[in-house]
Amino acid sequence: MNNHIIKQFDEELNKLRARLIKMGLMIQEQIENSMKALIHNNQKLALTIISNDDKVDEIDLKIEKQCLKIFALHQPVAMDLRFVISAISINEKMEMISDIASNISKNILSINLALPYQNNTNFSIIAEKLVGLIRKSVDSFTFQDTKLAYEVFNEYLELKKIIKENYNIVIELMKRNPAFIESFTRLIIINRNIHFAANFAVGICEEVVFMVEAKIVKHRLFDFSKPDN
Amino acid sequence: MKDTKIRIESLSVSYGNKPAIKNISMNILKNQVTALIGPSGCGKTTFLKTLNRLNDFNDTIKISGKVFIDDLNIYSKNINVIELRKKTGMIFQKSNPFPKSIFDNVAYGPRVNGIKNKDELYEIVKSCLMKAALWDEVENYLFDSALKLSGGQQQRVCIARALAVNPEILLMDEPASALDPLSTARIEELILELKENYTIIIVTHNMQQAARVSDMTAYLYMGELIEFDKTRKIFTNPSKKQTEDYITGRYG
Repeated sequence: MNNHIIKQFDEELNKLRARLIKMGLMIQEQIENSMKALIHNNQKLALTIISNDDKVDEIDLKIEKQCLKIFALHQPVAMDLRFVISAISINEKMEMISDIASNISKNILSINLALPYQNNTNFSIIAEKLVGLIRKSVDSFTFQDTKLAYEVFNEYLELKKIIKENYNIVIELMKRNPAFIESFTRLIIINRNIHFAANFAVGICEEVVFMVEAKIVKHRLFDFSKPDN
Repeated sequence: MKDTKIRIESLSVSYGNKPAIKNISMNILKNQVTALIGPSGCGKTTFLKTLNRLNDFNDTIKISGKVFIDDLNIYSKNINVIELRKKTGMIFQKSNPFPKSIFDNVAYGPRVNGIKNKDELYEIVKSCLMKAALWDEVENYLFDSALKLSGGQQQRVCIARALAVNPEILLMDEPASALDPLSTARIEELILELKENYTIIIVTHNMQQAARVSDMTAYLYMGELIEFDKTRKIFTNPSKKQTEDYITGRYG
């Protein structure tokens, strides 16, 4: 890709790109740690995740300001416009993913340490898949790779099924172990939060498709035979 | 689907041996604003001038291909060039009012066309100044010199003057390039109002202006039509890399 005649414009776009990549790495770590904390019921790690959310919020604000600056000073069009518009949306989704990691961690703090939920539920496989999904969505942005984005769309469907199954498993366990009702309720909330995080990963990938291919695939994720919006 | 107002077929123009327009074909739709963009010297103004045969005055020029306005080939031998030019009003980059009163500027064309009745002339002048969104500002100064007006107002006098001969097409060659942002906004607003009744072709170097006022955008580079599509498409997802490089400022 050629450079802009106005170098400052390139610098601003590069700065935005670098900040989003940094944000991507941060939320990846937040999700990875939250899943580790969940699988090992590691409350200390959960506390670290909660405190790290502020750092993500800081960079979220910087990215938003950077986008505003680019709009005000450079009035981007075509690929630049799509990039900045996607950046705003991706930033928002990444920030939400970090909030979810933090929310999962808060719920982990209320799970009874004596409850061996790891072996009886789908959480291990869900955690592995969510971490993969988030990593792939961040990579699809970093490398502007729509092939990865489309993979995420399909993997999300698989994960969704397992999450649904897991919900039923947790409900059954709850019925059999009423003494742990609060912990199981927390696990149901975590299960739901994982679904939300996966949803946002899909949202990031939809933006990547828009940015790279100029196609709006929102709301038509699983039927690409429909004409473009 | 709107009707085609101007149909251009394999148009080529050269000055001596130097080609300025290379084999351009395109349809310009009625009551739409079509923007021509491209770097200096790409042939935008030459192209515009071929649409009302203003290039006729240049002896070195060679024109081939066809330009149809309402299915009439304007380069056929039996065309009445005066009648053609009445159909196509032109507004230039630098406002060029006659050193006369505002009234006389706008009444100039109708007078040449034989209208002498003062009431009739007044009605024409009033209506054209209203269409050019200038009436409220000059109503009480109609007989003052047009040269006393601001740049933006002078340009609107020129638009009113062009409208006074009832054209069907307005050709605008960077009509707001010498104006401040407020006057530019007024001209742009005016263009959007005028397209209800006129077919407008505007040459502009201001990308944002093309994006704001036009329905269709044509990108010309070194006399070639690189891309011609809906403005929304050109400014969000152009098909050609050359267009994208130009509009995003990567040209050069």
